[in-house]
Amino acid sequence: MQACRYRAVVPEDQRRPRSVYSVGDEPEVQASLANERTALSWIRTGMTLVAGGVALATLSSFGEVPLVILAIAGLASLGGVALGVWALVSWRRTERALRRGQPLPAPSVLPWLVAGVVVVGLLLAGVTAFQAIELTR
Amino acid sequence: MSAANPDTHRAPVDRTTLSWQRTVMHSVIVALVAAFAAIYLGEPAVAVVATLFAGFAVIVGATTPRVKRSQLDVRDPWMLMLRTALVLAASGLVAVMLVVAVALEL
Repeated sequence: MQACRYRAVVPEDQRRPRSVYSVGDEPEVQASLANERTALSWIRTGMTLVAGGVALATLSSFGEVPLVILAIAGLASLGGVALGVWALVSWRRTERALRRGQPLPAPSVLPWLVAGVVVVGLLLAGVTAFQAIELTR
Repeated sequence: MSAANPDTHRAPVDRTTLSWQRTVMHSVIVALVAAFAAIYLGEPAVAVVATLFAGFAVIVGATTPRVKRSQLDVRDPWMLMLRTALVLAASGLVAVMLVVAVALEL
């Protein structure tokens, strides 16, 4: 799609942060909105991690919970908060790149998120299998 | 995409509006679930903090504009995103406090 860039910006641009809106030209509306939606998706992913942490912590109401489960719950919650911060940083970087007509920055946190989810999934599966074997003995 | 139909340009705006609605609903639900979990697990100190944060989340959710995304001068999502990220951080803090409280009781 041909990028449509606007030189005529709002006369007195009051938008914040100034570090974003004071550089470059107004980007294509659709690209800017897509950047906003991507940041919101990152925030929702962070919320899902926090919800998972809360759910794992709630397991303690059923009885004693292995410490590893609580450790995963804590790490998931902290990871969720980190993703929220990342969403803001990523939105700012991408919006600046769009305004300057530069290549978009890579989503560098994505491999870490995938690796974390895989490790946590394997750990939870291992703990569940171990407890199931203990129960059948 | 046809440029002849002016409504064509509404689609990205509406998608963004829906994305905001989903995010705001998510944030309120997660904050409320964290508060209920703290109350249910019998952690009074965490429950008080979690309830305050959940109230903050509801206020943020209720005051987030839904349809003002199409005009240039109001396409300024920074403060809205910052507030939503603060709700997320508050929910994460409650979750960590909950985990620590449960771990101390083990």
